[in-house]
Amino acid sequence: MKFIKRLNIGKYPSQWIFFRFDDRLLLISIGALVGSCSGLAALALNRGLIAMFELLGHYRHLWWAFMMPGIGAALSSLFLEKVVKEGAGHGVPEVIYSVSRYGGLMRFRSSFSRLISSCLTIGSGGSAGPEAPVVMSGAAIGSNIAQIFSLNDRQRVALVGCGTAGAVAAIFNAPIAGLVFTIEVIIGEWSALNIVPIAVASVFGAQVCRLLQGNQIAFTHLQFNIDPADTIACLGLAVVTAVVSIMLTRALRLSNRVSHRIHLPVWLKAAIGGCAVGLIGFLLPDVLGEGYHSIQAMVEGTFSNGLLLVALLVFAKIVATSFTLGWGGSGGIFAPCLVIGSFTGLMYHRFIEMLWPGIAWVNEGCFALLGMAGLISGILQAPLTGMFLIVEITGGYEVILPLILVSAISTTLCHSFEPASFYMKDLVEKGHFLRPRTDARVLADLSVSELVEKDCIIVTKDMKLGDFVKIMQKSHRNFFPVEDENSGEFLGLIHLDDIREYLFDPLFYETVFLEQIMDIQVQTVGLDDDLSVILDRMDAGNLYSMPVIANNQFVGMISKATLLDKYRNELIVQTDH
Amino acid sequence: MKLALKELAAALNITPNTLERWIRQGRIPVRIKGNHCVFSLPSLQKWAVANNLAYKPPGAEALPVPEGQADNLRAAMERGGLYYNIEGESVEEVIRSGVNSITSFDTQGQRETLYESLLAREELMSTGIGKGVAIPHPRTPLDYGEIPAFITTCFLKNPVDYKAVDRQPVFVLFLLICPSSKRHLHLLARLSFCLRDEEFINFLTHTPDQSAFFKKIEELDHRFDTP
Amino acid sequence: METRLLHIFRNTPLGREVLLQSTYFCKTIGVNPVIYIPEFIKFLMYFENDVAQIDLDGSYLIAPETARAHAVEIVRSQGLPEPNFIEPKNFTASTLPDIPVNFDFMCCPRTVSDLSSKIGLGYIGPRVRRIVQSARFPVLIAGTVSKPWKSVAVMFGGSANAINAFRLGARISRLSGLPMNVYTQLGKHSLDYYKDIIQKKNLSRDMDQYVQNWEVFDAGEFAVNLYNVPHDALVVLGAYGHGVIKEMLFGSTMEKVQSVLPNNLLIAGPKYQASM
Repeated sequence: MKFIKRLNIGKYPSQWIFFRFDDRLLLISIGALVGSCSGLAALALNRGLIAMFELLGHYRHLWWAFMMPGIGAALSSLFLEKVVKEGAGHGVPEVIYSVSRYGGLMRFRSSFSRLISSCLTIGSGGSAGPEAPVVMSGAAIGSNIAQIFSLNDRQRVALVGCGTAGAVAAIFNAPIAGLVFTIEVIIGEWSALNIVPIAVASVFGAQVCRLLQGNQIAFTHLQFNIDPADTIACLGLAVVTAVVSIMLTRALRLSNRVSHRIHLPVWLKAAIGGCAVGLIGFLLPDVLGEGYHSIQAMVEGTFSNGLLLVALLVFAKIVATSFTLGWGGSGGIFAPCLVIGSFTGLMYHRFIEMLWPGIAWVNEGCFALLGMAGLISGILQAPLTGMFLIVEITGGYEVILPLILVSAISTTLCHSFEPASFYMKDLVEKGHFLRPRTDARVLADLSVSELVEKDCIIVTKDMKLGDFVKIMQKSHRNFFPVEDENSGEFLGLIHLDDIREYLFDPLFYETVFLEQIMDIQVQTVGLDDDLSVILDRMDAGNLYSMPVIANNQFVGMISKATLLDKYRNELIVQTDH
Repeated sequence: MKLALKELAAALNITPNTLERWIRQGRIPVRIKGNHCVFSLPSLQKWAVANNLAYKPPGAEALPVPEGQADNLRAAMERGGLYYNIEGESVEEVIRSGVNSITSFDTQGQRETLYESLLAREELMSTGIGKGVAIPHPRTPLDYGEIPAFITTCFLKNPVDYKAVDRQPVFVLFLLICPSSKRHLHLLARLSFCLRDEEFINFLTHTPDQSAFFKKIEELDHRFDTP
Repeated sequence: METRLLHIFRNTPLGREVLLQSTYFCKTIGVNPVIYIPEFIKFLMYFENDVAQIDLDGSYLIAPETARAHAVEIVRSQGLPEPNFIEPKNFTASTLPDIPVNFDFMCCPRTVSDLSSKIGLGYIGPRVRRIVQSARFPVLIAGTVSKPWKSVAVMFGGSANAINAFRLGARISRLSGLPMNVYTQLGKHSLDYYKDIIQKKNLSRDMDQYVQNWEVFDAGEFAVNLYNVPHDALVVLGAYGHGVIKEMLFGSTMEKVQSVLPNNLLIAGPKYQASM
């Protein structure tokens, strides 16, 4: 110990002189560690799923197989509710919430809970994806490593990003998609300070995955030769994917609302939802699980079903996904999006082939691929994530032109119908969507106690106007709070503008008490009020300042002028990197 | 460098709450260690400049008291001095003698400028405010360097016709010399408070000696400060 | 600015006793109680560098319709004005509210997450420990039955946490006007060592002003000597930030004290900063 002290090495690496010199080095090295850990977590889930499939594969043909997703979902919901005591849901909004409001503080239990619960849900056949759970785990791993090193909020957010990027990079073997998804969806801020460690973590996550699983591209495909006609046809596909995305978003929310209205134990609801999925899966087995096998078949062009069946599959998958996720199963929306997207692409391809049989359309795999990009971009409203993810998981750079088109159009269309993406919708509704450098963010960071001005002179209600005039001469404020002499209770406010006419008439000096001229119906604010609410009230009442009251006692004034001053300062501080 | 949270917040002129939050959020190059904030001064100064803040080290930080606040009449009058039997038969002459008795100036040149600006002010309108009192002062503050505001009190040998508002001859001058208009108004307000007091005027007509005069001024200062 | 104490109310006779103790504490040192009546079985507290999920015992959700009226009645019966209540504004998940942490004190029974049958000497629940570890405010650990205290007893062992506890004790003594006693068990060091610390940390003035008696145990077991602590004293002590293993190996003052004394305990955790 003494030796360590002499070297001036603190308990925490963040205090080492070497890192204090430049926290970028610190972030990059811890980011690499976080990326590797979350990559391992992603791999663990992947292996777990494979094991579950193999284990349960033997029972698929039995009559009660339709109950398996139900049992899985019930177990997963019981695990979340009773064992780790976390709420249901897929977790990504929770990560964004913690990043925007609490500097990425997350519970330790989040780093494994979703892995286990989603493994149960998906492994048993529930229609959900493993990505949101690994995002949550990766983020929680990053956050907890940051807590061990006692890093500050900014660094912690970067590490949460690192965890996310590492996990996404590992599960898809797609480092760029990991990076882009993190920046676009989770953090929402493009700054070099964040991007560098996140990129490094993404590399490490993907590298861990490649070391242990080999460098496989998830969906290999044939060579596509894309003609201009195909590119034009993509415009139509973009519209179709946008429509399907909106349908999926609405279906998920609808089933969520319905299940909220039914009063049953959560695990029973999850079981009902799971059984419903099982029944659909009994008829159309392609909707079960994450569905990567069918994607592979479609991209390779070996999926043989006809137009109507494919269209049915699109709807079946949407319904199955909303039953799984809306009723309490645990898992992500990513993989179902990919599956629905490729079904949609295939459906569209079959359709245009039927309309214009003479034209030599490109292979249907290409459309399946574009459909995936359209759906991801539409649901997440993150066009870059859609593009990079599809390019990386298919290794198909030659489709980039139609891919960009589809992603862009789909995002735009969805945005006009659903202004907030699937992940953000709840957050936006509750006012928790606080992206860095935005008005909402600055207002959320500033608190009333930082803005309150305490240099007001407090007067009592029994004071005569004459005495008050003398006090007034010493003050440089226009407001004078009136207090009860004994209890210290706030009674009202005197505003110079209101009493100016009496001030110069000495007759009033001895005859008028402050009680008579104070404004008692004054709007007040509390110390815990949100600034955005206070500002709304100021705007509504056309006020420039309001008294701050805590426990019936006057604390100080809060004014728009000071607010602007601090707001500007805060904005400068927040945007300086 | 090591400072307590409150000290550092004061040095940066922000509230301790804000400073604490910035440290927690990692927006400012400062760390908390035990009860203290630890930081490197150059990097904090650099940061402060980049973020539109100013770092004032806590020692030198004895914030300059807002102008005119700390000063009172007695101090200004003691700086200016009290003189009796000032000679002169006209406004110009008494002002000339009054200016010559001022000790705060080093050079004759300064006296000369002051004399001219005082006369210019008198030509505009007499500073004889009635009851035998005049307050000669320059219209705009003159640049005397680091000399603080002062009031030189001159009891005249013979009352002079000063073209005062009430046509009474003036027997006492208060030369009011201030480096800024704000200071000027501040002292003028105090002086006018005194001169509204009949008893004080009466007291002046008896040409009090130095100690009695300052004692009286101190008393009035006190009355002015406690409403 | 007003000082506030956070109280998680449970609408049972046990909860009433705990709230009575909170109220007594608030009344004695002039703090305003702020009460949270849980609507969900769990909630989160986001501390500076840590987030703690508090999973409550099911009895916290009993009889929600009368809870608020009961809480108001208990607080008013002690002569305090109507308390403030917390309505959680933020939710991490739909059933997981975030409770603010900007308080000056918090009151807990010995356990909040396990069944109340576990409440007893020598046991402090994992959630309460977590709060003590992470919170910037000291935690008042209430007994099973409310009992007014007439003096402040500070356990002073010379460590940084003990110094914090000393400052906290002096603050309580100043605010309440009640006498303060300090207890020290001499171990490896002599009394001069402790006197030196008091001197160095500028605590001498507080020592002279508030401390009635500095009782030094130079022989015998600490646990036995704790008999000398008055039964009607608020015991103030600091808690270490080290882990379970270290605690098991070396033991700690806090563990000894909490397993011997049934008094109300006011524990200053490692994050508590007296001067800030």
